[in-house]
Amino acid sequence: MNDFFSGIYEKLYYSSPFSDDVYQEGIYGPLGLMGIIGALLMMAIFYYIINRPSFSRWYHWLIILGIHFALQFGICILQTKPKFSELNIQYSSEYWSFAFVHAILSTFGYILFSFMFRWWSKNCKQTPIPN
Amino acid sequence: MPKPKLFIFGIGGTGSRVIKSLSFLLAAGTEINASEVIPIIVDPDRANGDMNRTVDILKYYQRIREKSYSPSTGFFNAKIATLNELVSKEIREKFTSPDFRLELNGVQNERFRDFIDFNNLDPVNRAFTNLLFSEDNLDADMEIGFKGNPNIGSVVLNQFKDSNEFKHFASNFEANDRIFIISSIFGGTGAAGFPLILKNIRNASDRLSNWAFLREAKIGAITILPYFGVAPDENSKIDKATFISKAKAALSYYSRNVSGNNSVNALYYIGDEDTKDYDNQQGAAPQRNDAHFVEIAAALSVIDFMSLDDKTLQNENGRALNPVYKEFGIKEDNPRITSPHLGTITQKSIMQPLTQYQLLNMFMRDRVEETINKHPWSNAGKIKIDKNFTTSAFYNDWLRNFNKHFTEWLQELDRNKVSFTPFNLGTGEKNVFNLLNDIEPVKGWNPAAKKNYEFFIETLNDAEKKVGDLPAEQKFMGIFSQATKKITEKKFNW
Repeated sequence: MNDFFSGIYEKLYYSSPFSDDVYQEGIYGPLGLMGIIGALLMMAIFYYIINRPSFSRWYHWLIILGIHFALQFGICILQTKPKFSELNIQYSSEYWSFAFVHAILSTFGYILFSFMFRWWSKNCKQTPIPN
Repeated sequence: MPKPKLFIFGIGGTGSRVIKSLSFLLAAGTEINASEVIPIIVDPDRANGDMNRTVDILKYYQRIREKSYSPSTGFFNAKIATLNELVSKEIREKFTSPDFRLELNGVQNERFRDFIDFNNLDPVNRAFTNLLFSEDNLDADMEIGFKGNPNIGSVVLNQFKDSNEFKHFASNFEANDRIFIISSIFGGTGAAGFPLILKNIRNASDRLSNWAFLREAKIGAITILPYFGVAPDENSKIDKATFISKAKAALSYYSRNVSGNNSVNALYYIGDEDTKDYDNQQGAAPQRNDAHFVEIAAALSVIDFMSLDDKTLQNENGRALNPVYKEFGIKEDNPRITSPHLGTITQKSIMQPLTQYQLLNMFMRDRVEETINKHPWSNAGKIKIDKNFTTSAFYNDWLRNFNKHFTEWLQELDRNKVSFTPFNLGTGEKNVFNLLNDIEPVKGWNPAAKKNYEFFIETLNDAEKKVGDLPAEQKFMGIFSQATKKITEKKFNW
């Protein structure tokens, strides 16, 4: 799983030795899974848990997208920074760049899952773009 | 067994107003056991405000139904047709009235003395005529009706049996069809017209098509006793002090020639002692009375008549074998009638459909413009309900104007005496389901549950899945019919 996800992340962001350390610590795998599960969960929250006519417009969907982006950004920072601090490895801008890429990838997942699974939502199936 | 056609004769202003009430009940989806309802309005007063309002409403009804009816919708369920539409194109172009009115000849720009050619009568007949009619009667201008003089009406309306409309009515009348006659007993047109039309049907000439069917026709009628008054006016020929005496005189005649000789299979009576005085308008456009609960009850008699089994309405030699006589009642006498005051059967047959229609009316008033194209009920599927729809003649003209009449009808019923006020007409966006007076909506335990129009929209979205892709007008009415049905079941346990 680490290998699979590293193949995806490192196509978008590779910075040596940061990315090598991420790979070595086996962070790619769990982070990738959190990104996918998080995207599915946020999609489900919007389309099936909130699922309200008063919260069904494209900008409501964007609000959830924004929250998801922020959450995944934070999750990535929390997955990397404390671990490397424990190992006394110092990085700075690499954390933010990597977190940004992770948030983008996960948000892409949110968008994909929205268009795949929205059809059974009573109130939001035409959000963000009517078919 | 196919459903029968129903020919309704609505005589005079009261006849028009009852047909108006019936139209709204049918538009809301109240069921009637008829394949087609053919109203025929009999009123010499062409400019009569009540009659013209009813004709407008009927025309909107037809146009809306033609575009929007589908098995998915209960609204505008019953088919309303003109007599015109039953006849062939050639006949239609030559003779029949184009809409729901029966053309009466000789009443425009003529006084009664001219109608009976009084000046050319021989002295004996002239003397006899002077015994039956006063100078006022002879000088009566009939253009705005008979002004409470059934003696004039009974002469003028007798032309009915020779009219083209009667011939077309006869030729389209089938053995299984039924007839219902609506009239007041205390006016001029209704009191005269009812026994005349009845007699002309039961004694239909054997030269007419289907004369045998007419003689043995299943006929119901409602005769409406005084239920309103008119303000005193020395310039008017109409005086409410004569209403009761005229009703008594007419009832005496009916006891020999209507109920007394079993001419009618089912005779309904209704009236009210607690009356309000309307403006004293003798006729024409200003005669436009507020709607009254008695008219709704009278409309229910039509529905009740159509629900009676054929076995109850059998005839022999043009006479009813077992005539039925009925009066209307409510559970509780109250100057302000709401749904709980109605009898169980009345509540069941009209309150759910009327509530459904009022919900549609409210949503169109408050939410259609701002929700169009924003929710699945309007933007899902191949056929969208969008701005093109809301600017179409169907929505923007016919349905909106029909609903304006509906709202006006509810407002008139509310302010009349006795008041019929099932709906809280001031209900707003924060309390949508408090629309029924004296009935609390069911409230759930979940504080996060959707409320008011949000719940309404969700129910519409759900209904859209079931209705599927139909032409926009059918889709719109189908979605609202199904959604409002579900709302009334959930919120009021109907």
